[in-house]
Amino acid sequence: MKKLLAILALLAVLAGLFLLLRTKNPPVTQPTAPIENLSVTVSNKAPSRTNTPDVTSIPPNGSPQISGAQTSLAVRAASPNGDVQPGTVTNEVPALPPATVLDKTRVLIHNYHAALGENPVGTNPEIAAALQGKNSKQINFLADSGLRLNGKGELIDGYGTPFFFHQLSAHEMEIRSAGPDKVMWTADDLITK
Amino acid sequence: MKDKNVSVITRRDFLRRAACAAVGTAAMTSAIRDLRFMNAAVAQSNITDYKALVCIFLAGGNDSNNMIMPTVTSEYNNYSAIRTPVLAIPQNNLLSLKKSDGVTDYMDPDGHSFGLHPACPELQQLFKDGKLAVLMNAGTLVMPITRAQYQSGGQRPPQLFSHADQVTQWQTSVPDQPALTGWGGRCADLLNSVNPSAGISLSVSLAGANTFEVGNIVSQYAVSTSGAISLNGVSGARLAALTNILGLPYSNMQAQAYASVAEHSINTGALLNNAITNTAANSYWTNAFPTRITTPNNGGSFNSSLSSQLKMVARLIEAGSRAAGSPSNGFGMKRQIFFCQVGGYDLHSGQTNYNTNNPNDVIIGAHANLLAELSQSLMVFQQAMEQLGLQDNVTAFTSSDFGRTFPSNGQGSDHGWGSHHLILGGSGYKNQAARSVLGGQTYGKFPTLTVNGPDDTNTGRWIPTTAVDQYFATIATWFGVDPSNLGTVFPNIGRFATPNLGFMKT
Repeated sequence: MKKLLAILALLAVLAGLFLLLRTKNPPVTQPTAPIENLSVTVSNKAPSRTNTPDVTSIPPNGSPQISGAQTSLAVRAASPNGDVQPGTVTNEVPALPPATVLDKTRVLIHNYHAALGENPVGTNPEIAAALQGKNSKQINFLADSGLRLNGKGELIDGYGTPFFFHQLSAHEMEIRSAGPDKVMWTADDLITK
Repeated sequence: MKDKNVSVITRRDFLRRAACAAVGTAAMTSAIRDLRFMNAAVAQSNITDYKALVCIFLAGGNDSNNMIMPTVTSEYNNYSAIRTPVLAIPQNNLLSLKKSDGVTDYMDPDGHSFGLHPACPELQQLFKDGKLAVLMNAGTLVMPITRAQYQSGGQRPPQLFSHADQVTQWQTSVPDQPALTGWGGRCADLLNSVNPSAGISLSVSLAGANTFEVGNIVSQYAVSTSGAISLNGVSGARLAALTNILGLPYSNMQAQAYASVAEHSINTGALLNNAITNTAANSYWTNAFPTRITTPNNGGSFNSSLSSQLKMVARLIEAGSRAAGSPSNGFGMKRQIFFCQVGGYDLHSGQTNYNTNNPNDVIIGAHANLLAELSQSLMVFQQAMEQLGLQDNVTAFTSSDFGRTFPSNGQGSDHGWGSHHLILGGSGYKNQAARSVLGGQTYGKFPTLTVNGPDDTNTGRWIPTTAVDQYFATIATWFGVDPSNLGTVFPNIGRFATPNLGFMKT
């Protein structure tokens, strides 16, 4: 009788362990629709990435690594702070609202100015490079910022369009996002200084 | 335990001593600089003729890629391919730069021929007459720089492509040091002694305070397009009473200084307005300045700020060059420097009226309007100088923040670097012996209009092959700055191959 009880208890423990492990590691399932066909609404709060090839976020070490694998939406899907979660499959669009992306960019430029005494200059890729450490103090301002670069090394806005940096002076920079229509110099552009 | 032999300096002591040292150093540097200017100015005092400079600042960054275009077929095709569709001016609309015969195309020493924007027929005429020179690809430079040097981090002017900084660097001609004075102001400091009895400043601005005319000795004097800027609502008995009050002695030094400046300003204004009375609107040549500009090819029609500014400059040149005292009542000046400015050139969007339904509207739009204003205003100004007989004594020249990117951004163009400029004046071919501006020619090197070509940074922004220092040193030399003093006005000029580009007769 005691042997029977011990066997039953052992079986119960094994069953419990099995259930526990199953809960922690659910079986992999495929999304119901191909990721490229996800329906994404373009709005101020839910930007689309469907037209943004070769997007990468800035890893903590500040060296964006653009690879073929990263061009898939599955890899590009962002966590709330904008960092890529490798291997995560999600149909979520990046959680950062476009206004936040714009403001984070403004803060980055401000931080750059505070550290170096002047704003970065040049085209978008040149400014992005300066923000990533190609500056006299070799400070990487982009690391962990959650901001994103496209395949051309351009800093992109919350809609996936490269920012336009209007350099007014060494101390004043107008940052322009093309807005939801992704066309620069139209009424829906988002602008900050 | 403190070592008694070590004198302890508190933070407060350190700051106080450092501040004193800094002030002392600054004062000594300033004194040395002023002494240098004074010595140089004495050497400049043997001037007897009249000359004036007119700086026309095209604020915002002029797209000179569409002011002067190549007409050699392969070069035009390259231009057209890159600027199509929003910025490419059709070849059959270009106004060819001609030689003096008006028939043969002008060709530069490198085999380039050129056409002007269709909004500029007046500039085409002035070039043909030998009164307009064109300087190619000039810009701010710390020292000569190649594409390879640029890309490997060679010394570039600080804050390239930034409006305010590039404006300052163009107007100071000293890109690598903190801006203290403008090159016009430094010329004025040197030459002020040749205007011993002038009632007004050598430096006059039609566009408010500017860096170009900031000097150590000479202060710029701002006027409006209708004359001296007077106190609002103060005239007649009120003005007399105010003048009396300002003339009183004040024990407070600040109050005394304020009263002196205010009184001087009122007196100068009265003097100036009196001197230009006879060049009011009914004068024979002032009527020629158009109030409204109409852009050719069914372009826009608008009131012109530049034309009004140049009209007042012409009146002040007439008054400034006229003998002082009765009966002429002029200022009897030997040298004058003027600053004009027209904005609107920062055309990131809406540069042309191009649209798919009317693609030929690429020849009109905002930039065409600005170029039409420039072209027509310069022509009338030149005519006014000729009517005054001062065409060989007055040189007008353009400046601008920077050029613009060669490729379009889809709606306009973005901030560039090197750009082409205009120098106007002189009798042209009519009087070869007298002419001041050796017009009818281009100077400098026309860039290879290729993105990632030898003259490109990397995105169609031309690396200047002529420094603003050289551009302005050439003008300053004509203006009377002795070659031995060029280094005082243009401290970096020795870094460049030649201080004289040859477009002025000296």
